[in-house]
Amino acid sequence: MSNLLQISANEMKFLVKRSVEGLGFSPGDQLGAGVRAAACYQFGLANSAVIDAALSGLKVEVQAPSLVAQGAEWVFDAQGQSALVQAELGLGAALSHGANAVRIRNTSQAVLVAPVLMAWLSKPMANGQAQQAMALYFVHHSGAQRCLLIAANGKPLGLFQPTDNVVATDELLLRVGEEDIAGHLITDGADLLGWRERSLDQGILVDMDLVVRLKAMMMDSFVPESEASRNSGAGPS
Amino acid sequence: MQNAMLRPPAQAMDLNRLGAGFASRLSFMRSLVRHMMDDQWRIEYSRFNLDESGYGHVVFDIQSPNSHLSFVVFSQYLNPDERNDRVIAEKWDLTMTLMEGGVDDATLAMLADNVPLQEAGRIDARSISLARANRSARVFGEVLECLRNGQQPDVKRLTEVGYLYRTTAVYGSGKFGSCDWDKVVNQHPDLAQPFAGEMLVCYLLRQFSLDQLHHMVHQDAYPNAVDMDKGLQRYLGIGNSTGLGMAPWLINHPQVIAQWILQRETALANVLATQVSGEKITQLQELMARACQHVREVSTFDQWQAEKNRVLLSDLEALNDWFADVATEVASWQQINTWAEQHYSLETQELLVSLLLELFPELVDGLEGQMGTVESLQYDPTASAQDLADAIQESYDWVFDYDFTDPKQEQTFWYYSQGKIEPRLGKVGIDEGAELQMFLGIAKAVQDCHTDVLAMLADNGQATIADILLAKPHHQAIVARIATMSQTHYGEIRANLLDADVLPMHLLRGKLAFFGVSKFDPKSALWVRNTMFQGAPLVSDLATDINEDWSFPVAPSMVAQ
Repeated sequence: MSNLLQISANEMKFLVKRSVEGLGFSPGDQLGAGVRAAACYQFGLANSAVIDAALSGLKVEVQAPSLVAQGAEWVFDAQGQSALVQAELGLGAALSHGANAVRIRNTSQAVLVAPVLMAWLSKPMANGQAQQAMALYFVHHSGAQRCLLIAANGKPLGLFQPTDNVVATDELLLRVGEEDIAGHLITDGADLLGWRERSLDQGILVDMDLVVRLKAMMMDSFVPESEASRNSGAGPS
Repeated sequence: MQNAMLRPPAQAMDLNRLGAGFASRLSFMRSLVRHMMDDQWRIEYSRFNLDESGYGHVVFDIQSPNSHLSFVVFSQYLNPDERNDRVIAEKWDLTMTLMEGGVDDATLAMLADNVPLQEAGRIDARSISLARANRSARVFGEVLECLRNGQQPDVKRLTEVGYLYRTTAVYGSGKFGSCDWDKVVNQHPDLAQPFAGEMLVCYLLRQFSLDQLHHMVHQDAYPNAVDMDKGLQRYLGIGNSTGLGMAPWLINHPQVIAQWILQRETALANVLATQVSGEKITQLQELMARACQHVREVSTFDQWQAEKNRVLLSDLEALNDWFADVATEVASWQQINTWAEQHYSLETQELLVSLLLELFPELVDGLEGQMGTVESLQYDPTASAQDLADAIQESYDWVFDYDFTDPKQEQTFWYYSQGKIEPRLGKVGIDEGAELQMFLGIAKAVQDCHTDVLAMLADNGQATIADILLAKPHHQAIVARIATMSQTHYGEIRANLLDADVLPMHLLRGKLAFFGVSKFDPKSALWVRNTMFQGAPLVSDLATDINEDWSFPVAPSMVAQ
């Protein structure tokens, strides 16, 4: 059995943000990664394995997904980047031009983009066409297809197992305006929100190995200690 | 009442002005104490296990209208050589936690194993705050000896210091396993105002410092021992050392700061629009006299602060003279405020603001419930790039005052050290670590973003924010910030934190004033000592009808011992 540590969502956010910063990602990527890792954990949409895999999939040399096709579906290539960062750049670009379906290929841990969509929908959007229920299709860490349905106000409506496979293992698919999911409901919106409440009440449980990894990674975002820094950087004690 | 006019953002968000701020009725300490008094909080010890030297542990049991809380303090011997107020310290005289519910033996044992370790320990989501404090080496022993000998301590000495212990860190918001802020908001509404939990920790620490002192005073070996005079007890607050960590917090939580400023400015506008009266003018002059005495009692060796205090006292004297000259001609509060803005220092102007708020609790206190806000910096990807350019022009015009071709404008960098993640400051080209600096150069980032937005709009007038970010993804953080903060009335603190001559002290004081601290005593440009809850009611006063106006406390008048 794994050794688990109870941490707060804010700690998760900080650890992931600083770890991503330590890899050399931009401030936007850092902040986004921290927020979505913590939020997904709180909703029960991610666990330590998802975060661990997402960290392993980060590629600092990639700055944004590249547009591959603009048809009935807008298609982007994430160039191997995990959805802990940057996936929203492609989704946002497609939504801003009225696309109803966006596919991002060559990515991983796609569920991590869900909190971005929830946040966007929680406020009025300039392009009203985007302000509709959204269905995010991805492959669960168990290997099964999943669909997270998000209401037009950003609230999660439910996690489904789709009847048909619509994404490859390394893809995510966003469909705008899809309100009925062909598949089985696994967890409804109230359960997802309830899980968040429980996470707030009791904290979130994270594999100790992941905590150790994050703490090691984040050290690269801090300046090594030195006598000069210690003596002058924070004012004499 | 006339129409209320808010001071403009260029004035209210100027860093120099924020750095001249004073505590007010809206400060978090004041509102917490008001709530504790109005709602009759019950605070008593459920455990008091200290030895004759004051070492051991205590547990306060706290019942507020909506929550049952405990405050657990561990007291241990600390070698004077190990007493250090900085983040990098590893031992402290006192360590403590505020938590929900009661404390049973198992919980106490868990806390005893972890709380004294601070960052090196773990607490759980029942804890709301984790904190530590060091004893004032200057005054604790002197006060103890006096009381043991049946004498009251020297008021002058207490005036110089103002506390027995000072906090060196008070953590909340999920640090080290404690609960997230959202839980506090959802489950503990009595602590749902900004920093209410942290302020409660400091208030209870102050009470503990007095109770521990008296426990040590009243030992069998000292048959003539006496209690400290109640007036003196109230005059003692809790000290605080604040360093650089507070500065990046202000930049990283711009929505919170904008909300605080909006409430204070709304309160001021309400007051300025109110009919002036002779009675209120007299009350204002009495408050000015008290504030003068308070400032005279500030003890600082810092020449910069001492000069500010000197100018403040001189200004207040001049303001009093002006009142005498024009007493029958004062037609409005705005007239007084305008006179101050035209003739006196920023500190005097901001002190006057705090005093004006003091005159009208009925116009001010109700705003305290609006000091909090839900934080989320985000952009709408479907909004137009032109909207973004307009937002920069309207809300961030001030960033174009800085010329970033001048290396001086980017000479300072802020960073975290690997040494206990202590925030520090460095100079580019001199200190190591500039490549790992924090993202605090807002003015520079907005300028760079603006340049790229205009270039894209020149190519494509229909571009969206998402188009900008797909092409220039490194702007994502600043675009989210611009999109969010341009929707607030007050927006950003207006300063370039990368400037070679940036004064972190202004940031520290700006936030500390909202906390409600007094007696700023800078120890360098990078950290400051100050006093919290000085003059506040004691726990035993909460159920009484003691005057809740404890602003600008002054030393009690006592016959010399």
